Amino acid sequence: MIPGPNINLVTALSSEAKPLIDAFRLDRVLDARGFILYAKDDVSLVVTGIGRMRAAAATGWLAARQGESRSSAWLNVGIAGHGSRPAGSMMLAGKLRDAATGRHVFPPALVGRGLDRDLVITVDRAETGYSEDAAYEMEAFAIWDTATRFVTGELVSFMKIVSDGPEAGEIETIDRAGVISLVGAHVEAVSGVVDELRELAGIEAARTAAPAGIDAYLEHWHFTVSARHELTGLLRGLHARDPDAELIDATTRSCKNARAALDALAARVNAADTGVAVD
Amino acid sequence: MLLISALYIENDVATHPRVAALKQRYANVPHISCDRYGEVFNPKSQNFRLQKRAPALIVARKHSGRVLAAPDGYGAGEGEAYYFSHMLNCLYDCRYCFLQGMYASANYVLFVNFEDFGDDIDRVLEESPNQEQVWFNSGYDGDSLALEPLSGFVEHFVPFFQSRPRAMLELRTKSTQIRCLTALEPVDNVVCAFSFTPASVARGLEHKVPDIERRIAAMVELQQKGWRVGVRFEPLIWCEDFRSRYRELFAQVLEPLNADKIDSVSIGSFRMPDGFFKKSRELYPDEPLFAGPLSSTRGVVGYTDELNFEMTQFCTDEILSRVPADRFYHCKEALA
Ligand code: SF4
Repeated sequence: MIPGPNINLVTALSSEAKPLIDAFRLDRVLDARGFILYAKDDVSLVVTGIGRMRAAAATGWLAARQGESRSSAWLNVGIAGHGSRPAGSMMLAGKLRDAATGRHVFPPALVGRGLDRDLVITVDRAETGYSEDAAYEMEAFAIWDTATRFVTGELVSFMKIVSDGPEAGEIETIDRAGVISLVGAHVEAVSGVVDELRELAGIEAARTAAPAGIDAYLEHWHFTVSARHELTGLLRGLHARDPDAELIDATTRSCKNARAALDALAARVNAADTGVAVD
Repeated sequence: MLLISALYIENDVATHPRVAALKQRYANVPHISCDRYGEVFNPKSQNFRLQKRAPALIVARKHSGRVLAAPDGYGAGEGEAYYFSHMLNCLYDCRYCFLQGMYASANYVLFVNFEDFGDDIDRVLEESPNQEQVWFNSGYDGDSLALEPLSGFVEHFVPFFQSRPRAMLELRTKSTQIRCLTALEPVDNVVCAFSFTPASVARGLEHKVPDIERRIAAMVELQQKGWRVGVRFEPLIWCEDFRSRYRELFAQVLEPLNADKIDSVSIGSFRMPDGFFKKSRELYPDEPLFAGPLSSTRGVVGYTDELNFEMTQFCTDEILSRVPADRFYHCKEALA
């Protein structure tokens, strides 16, 4: 299991991945089976293949590899058709639409301040009509749907770079080198968004981390899932009220079972009733 | 100018004059259309704590439930009490605030159809012809004044209430944003109520709120200009040296005011529905307030009965030594 926070870059094509692999100096993860995965430090990149099924599968696969971490951030980077923008222009998704169902979602606009935001429509076949003033692509909605099963929406973002459309030219004219160059022109923006996501993911990691001292309890007694929740809350509470408190004291240590240990801990938490500490 | 990360616009109000002004003012942030504000505001996969770092503004129409009966035990005045919320969410970030437990999103929602709120207020007044006065509280779902530059709420509603003397408006605030009021002549049926906790508690729990000295100065200025002001010691927070902290606070807040002209002074306990409390604690698991001597009774989390009794008794005695009994009340239903 890889502990969070993680930054997960998601691309459909290896040509979209190439400039990001270079920019973040990622290495191929050789033991990864199922999808092509690159990683270095806290950044991973998965190449999903084209279309919503593959995108959903790869996102779920990577989330599972990371122990379903609640503090992984996801950034989908890829080319898109667009109804009005010129080739090479870049935007984040302010709103996603699933063309198949008409459903909309709104990825929160916390990262990428100053960058444009557009409607991004996920279609099942490459769009050539470009009927709306929007970006057209084939993975985003599925990535959103899958990633937000694991993490909060603020940690999921979409960056699209226009490759084709009425103002950008025909998709057939774009080759691998063209895609590399389109994405490569925006690695600085990707890097900026990654930094912002990392900060948010760090807050989530701290919030959702197991409390200090929990291992001592888990080694001593067996806790059911709900008892473990209770234990987590009590340890957090004890720490919140008295950061210097001994997390497992002699009385608790002598308890015969998990229930007794929880009661002893609860008694300690409730004993200190000094209220909010003031300066 | 208040910073927002994006402007979400319900299609239904896209051409509303208040929205047009906001679009112009926030031309540099993304404008994103939606059918209903709930599409942006309500989804579960959102994190209030993270969004609080850079909220967006959602402009929308409020279709129903614009004016609601206030919970029993809320409010100062004689007569029926209602509340209405032209905005959801707040500029400030008080750790004891129920908004963080109630809403999935920290984005601001501004309902721009003020005129419909006004019609509903008139309807309530028509339906209560024998009531000498009917109270309408704002500031339930956010601070009444803090977002005035963005909402224009006071600018619209104070003149509205001025022409309806039976209707009493209570503004509830921790803001120092009083220019919108001082620019007007005082209005008899409008009360501006300021909420306080001791300075040291405020520093720990009332994030982004102006410091207490500036708030007191704003309140005193309003009173000197002839406005009716109220004081709300809500919620009472159990803290180290509770008695000396609160005694000091009562002196600090009440002494600079003209006691004869204080509209009302209230206290109210810290209370939060179980579900809101649970969510607040999940958002801030290391917050000492939530690890305090609290218990849940009939679905509401608050201080234990003995502690509540001790706190309210002490505060009641202290306040009554400073203000006449007919100006004091104990709010059983603490709002934001
Ligand atoms: S308690 Fe009042 S001032 Fe504080 S965040 Fe809530 S609504 Fe705003």
